[in-house]
Amino acid sequence: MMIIMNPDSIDTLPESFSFHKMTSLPDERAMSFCQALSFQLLKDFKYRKHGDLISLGFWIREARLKKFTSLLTSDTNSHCYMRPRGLVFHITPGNVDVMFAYSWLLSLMCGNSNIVKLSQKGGEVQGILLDLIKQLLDKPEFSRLRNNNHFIQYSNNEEITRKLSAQCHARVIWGGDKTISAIKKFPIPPYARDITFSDRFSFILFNADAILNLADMDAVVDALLKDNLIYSQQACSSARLVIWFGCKDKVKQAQEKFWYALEKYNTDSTDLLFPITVQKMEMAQYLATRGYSVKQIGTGIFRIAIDKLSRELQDLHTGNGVFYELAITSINDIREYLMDNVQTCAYFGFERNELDQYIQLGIMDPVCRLVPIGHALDFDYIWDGTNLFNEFTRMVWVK
Amino acid sequence: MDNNYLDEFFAMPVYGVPQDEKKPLFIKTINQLNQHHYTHCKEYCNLIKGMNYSLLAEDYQFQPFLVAGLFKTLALKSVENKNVFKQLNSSGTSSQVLSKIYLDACTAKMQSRALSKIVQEFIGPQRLPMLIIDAPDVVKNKSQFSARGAGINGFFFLGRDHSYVLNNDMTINETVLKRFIDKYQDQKILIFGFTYIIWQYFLSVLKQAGKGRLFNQAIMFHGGGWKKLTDSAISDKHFKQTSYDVCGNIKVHNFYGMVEQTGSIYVECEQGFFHSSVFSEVLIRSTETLACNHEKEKGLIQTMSVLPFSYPGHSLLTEDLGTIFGVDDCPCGRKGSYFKVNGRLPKVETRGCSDTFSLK
Repeated sequence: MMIIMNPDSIDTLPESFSFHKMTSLPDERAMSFCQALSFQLLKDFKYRKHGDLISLGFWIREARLKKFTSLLTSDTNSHCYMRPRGLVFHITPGNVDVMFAYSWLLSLMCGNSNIVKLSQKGGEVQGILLDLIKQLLDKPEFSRLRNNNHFIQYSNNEEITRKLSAQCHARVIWGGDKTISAIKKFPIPPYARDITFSDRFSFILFNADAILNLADMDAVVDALLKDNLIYSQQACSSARLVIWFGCKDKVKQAQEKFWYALEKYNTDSTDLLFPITVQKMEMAQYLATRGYSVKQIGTGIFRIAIDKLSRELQDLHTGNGVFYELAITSINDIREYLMDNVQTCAYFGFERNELDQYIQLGIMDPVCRLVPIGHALDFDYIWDGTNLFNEFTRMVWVK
Repeated sequence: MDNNYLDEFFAMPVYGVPQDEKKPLFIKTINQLNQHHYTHCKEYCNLIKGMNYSLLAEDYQFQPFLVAGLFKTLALKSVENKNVFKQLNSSGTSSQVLSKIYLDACTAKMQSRALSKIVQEFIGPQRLPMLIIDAPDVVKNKSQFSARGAGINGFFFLGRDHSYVLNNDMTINETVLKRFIDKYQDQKILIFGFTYIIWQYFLSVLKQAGKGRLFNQAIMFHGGGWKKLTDSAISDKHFKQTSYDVCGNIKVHNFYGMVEQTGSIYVECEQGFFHSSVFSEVLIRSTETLACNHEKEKGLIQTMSVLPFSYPGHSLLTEDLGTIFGVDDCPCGRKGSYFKVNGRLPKVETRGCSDTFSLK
């Protein structure tokens, strides 16, 4: 494994990728590595304070790996075998530190060799995680993985991007829209594929009745903050819009109850949940000049009532504690507010079978995932409507 | 609201009014301006309503404010188009997007008058021979000034025999410089320019050429463009020292101002502090909560001015950081709140799955 800082040393990377190095699937060695990584992350006290590292460790715990293993086991009675794609080039995001690992591990489990471009904007956690990965890869039992996986950092070097793109069998681009456009200028081989994760917009769906029936609001408030605090509401899965479902009166009461609870929590906290930035204030004032009503919840949380969602409103959103808000009386009405780039619906007060129905009827199209509030940031192998195990493998047809 | 509302302010000594006398009048006037703009500027009216601000504030800290950046994205004016006398388009000194400021004849005149009163506190009542450290092209387009052009235009009437010491290609016009030095050898002269222009194209060039002690009695007013200087790691101290070296006997006065609030500039006193005049007032707000900070606590500068009548620029939140050191008791002897400017708010890093690759 190499961490390349100097663009000139790119030539020392394996020039051509060899299929002789391909393993059988499921890749037991890769699973073993995941297990070792999980064990360290969950056991070692020094990772305890990093919620996103714990989440990662939890995601690749033994029980889950068993499920992944079964997903990667081809049925000998079928006509299909899953095989690795080959060399995968990952371009990982700047500010969600653990994202590179999710991307890499999924591809690793699929038996691929990988080159992972790390952002230079990465924070502390990126470095910590990389150190641990390196430590584990240095173990003799993981020598094959060490030789086939490389982490690289460089800034704005078109030559490297061009070279790596021309060599890979799959290229994963973790957003945003501008990045995807920029990277796509560098061609991948005709037989290769791009897997892109573009800018997304997510929302909360509250059932007003359910909120009103709650004796204690703590759990809901905690859940909302869990989804929104860690990346200052900038992650694509963090909700920027709250949709209330219910009849007019119930919705009004539920809104008062909920925002009051959040305000109280904000006031009781020793730390400021969301600072008021000049950008946020400018956004709020700009919308106010356009006729929107801005309510300030405690210090730093802005509630803005909207009656239509537009690309403009999405682009204006600064994150960092701003919630657009609207209400619907019939669940069918939600379709009006679901744009092509919608991703997560974090819900509260709905049963699974209700949601199943809505999905099947197409009411929720094109939402990519419906998860209970508090789980918006839980990453998994099906993301943005894509099954990454499928993307990272080839299907071999045999008769 | 009457056009003569500023008469009282012009009757007062610029730096001679103690806070307990200034405050009630100032707050009353800002409240009147709030109401005036509420009535005449639709966007301002919507903003006050939408943000649930109060038009009547009992104290400075309760005054509503506009984020200065709004003048880049919106055309905010409290006059009809036909009464717009001049439009200032300015990118400021650190951004590409232009702020649009609409002046009617009266506001433009009052801003000019206030500027004169303030600057004359330092240069005296006479019009001084004026050396402008910039190129003539900067003031070519009279209907749309850049920040530099607006500054020069504002100071123009304070001087005479205006001489642009730079060519349009920004090299020094030796002829102009020599003529000016020869003619005004024994007289008090006024030097004006934008900070980084003065540094980059005048002071460093002359210093490099070994020129020094050019003037016998000069006073310099410079402002704007600090970010570029900070980027090149030139401190205020270094700037002043080089000014003394190159210009000889010179008083250097930095001023803090912005295109969104011209006229009521804050001038640096001999002790190194910017002073509020009777026409303006500053507040410092926490960068986290926007609550008002105490003295000696650094924070965001909010600047209030009684001059903006044709546009709602009378109470603005800037992205500049500053610290108030006191009110009325500055060692220089002038009354008013006095402060230092500590630079601009650093750009906030966006987090989340945003752009991972930039081609710039």
